[in-house]
Amino acid sequence: MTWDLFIWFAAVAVLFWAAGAVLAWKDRRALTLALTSVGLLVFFAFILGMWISLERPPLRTQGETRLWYSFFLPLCGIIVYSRWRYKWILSFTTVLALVFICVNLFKPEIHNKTLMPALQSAWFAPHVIVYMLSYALLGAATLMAIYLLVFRKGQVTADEMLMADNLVYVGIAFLTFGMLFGALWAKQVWGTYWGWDPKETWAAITWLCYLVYIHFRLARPKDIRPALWILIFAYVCLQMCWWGINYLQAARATSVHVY
Amino acid sequence: MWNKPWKLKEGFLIGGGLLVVGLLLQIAVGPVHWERLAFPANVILLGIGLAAIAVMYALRKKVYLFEWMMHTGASVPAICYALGLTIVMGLVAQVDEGGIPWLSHMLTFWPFVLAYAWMMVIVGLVCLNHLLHFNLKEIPFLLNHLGVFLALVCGALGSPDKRELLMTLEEGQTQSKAEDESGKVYDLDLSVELHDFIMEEYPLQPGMRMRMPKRFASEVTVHTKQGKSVDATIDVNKPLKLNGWVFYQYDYDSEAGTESKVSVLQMVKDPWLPFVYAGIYMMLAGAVTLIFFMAPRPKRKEE
Repeated sequence: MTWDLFIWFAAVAVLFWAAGAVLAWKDRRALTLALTSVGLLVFFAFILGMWISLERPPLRTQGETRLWYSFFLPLCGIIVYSRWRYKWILSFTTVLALVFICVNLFKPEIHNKTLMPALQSAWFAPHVIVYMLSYALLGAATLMAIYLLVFRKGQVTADEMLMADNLVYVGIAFLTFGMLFGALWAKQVWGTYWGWDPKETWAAITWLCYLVYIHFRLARPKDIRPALWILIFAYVCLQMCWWGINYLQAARATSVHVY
Repeated sequence: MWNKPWKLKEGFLIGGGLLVVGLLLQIAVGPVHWERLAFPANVILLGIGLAAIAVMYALRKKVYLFEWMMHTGASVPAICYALGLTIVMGLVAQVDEGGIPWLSHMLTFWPFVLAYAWMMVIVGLVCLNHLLHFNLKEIPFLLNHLGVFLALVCGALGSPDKRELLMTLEEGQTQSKAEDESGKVYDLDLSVELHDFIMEEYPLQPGMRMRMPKRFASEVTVHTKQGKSVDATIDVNKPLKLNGWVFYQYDYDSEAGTESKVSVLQMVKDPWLPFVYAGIYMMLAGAVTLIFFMAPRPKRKEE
């Protein structure tokens, strides 16, 4: 198996995922699950093939990492869908997976980019993948909050808040995975699981923000607007953690995460 | 105000009061000296803290404050204060020396430490409450809260007991001394023999002037006092665990590059680590339960 064949496997997989996403909107539950699963199998066949021909798990290069992103996104999507039946989730994960597939197709030179020894870890991919998924879920929660605060006329319904709450619960769960995978990995590389590196500090800030939201919702379930504002503030902190610190003077000098 | 039941406002006032206490402490006694909490002081402090939590719990019917601390209304302001001070920490560059007084040294700033301690007392109280009323439904709650409690409390209290030493090795020689970051030299009950320092580089990449390091590793034999000899290759990301120490590939003679005959290993001993890890694994399990049990359920529509 080589990268030359990637476009064919990816195209077939995306077609299945897109078909599944469309059928989700039409409430064809069984077909949705089946088609998305077939897409996942096709895509995983490529990963497996690469694994065998490379004689190592394809986790080393950026391009190989994106391969796993594109696989895990619809996988997480199908889990969330089968649990909560949110119609939009599969469209969302399909589009995101497609973005990463396109990056791999149009920026092939990155496939062979070197990876410094510290990044050559089995934790690398899961650490980044779960973070990306949580960012995606929390991004959806933020869009929901903006919609409810700005565009929604009249009372916010219980169902709408239930959706926002669920996105945050699942989002913070993956945020926790990402943060703790990072801690376990850091222990393996640097001998310390938490060093208050600026990226880690902002990861903690983001995590605490969503904890405030969850506890505030439990303490004051009827105060909808402040809760939605917490969501927006939290997402600003999340952006700071994701890429904002690259521009933050306080972080540039000291962070191992600035790239 | 101060009419029962207390609301968020009272919580923010109590947190503000703690902040003031922290500032007064900072002025009166200076920064927090974590190194003074080295064993056995940290174990004693932990014992006192746990006992205090138990007493507060026992007095909850008599003292309204303790009862109130177990409600989400108390947790929101507590997290907010920890959050606010952590944001300051994220905005102000943290340095060892100099910088902005107080704010550049957040980890030894009393209000920061007290804000987190207050949060942990609250978490400890609710954990005790849930433990004493245990049933299977409490497991998700306990995994998350007890996990955070263990990881944070043991991580912070254990930090003064953590030893981090650097051992400089030369090829063909045996070393039994290592030094800490202040330069103090320690004689160890083991010695490390460096056979070979391995450094590999990637081929020169287009657009780059220097070859990138691909791998560095040390082939060593560790001889222990008990007469055991262990052969190992220590890679970045693949540390060696032996006799309570963990050996990490840390540095090499960067001027010599691939020709380096020198390798620096970092040796870490962290006796509180198993408790922190227990906390981390509980939080990971807790995150799973967050998805499947704790998230509020949507009403299912039948197909």
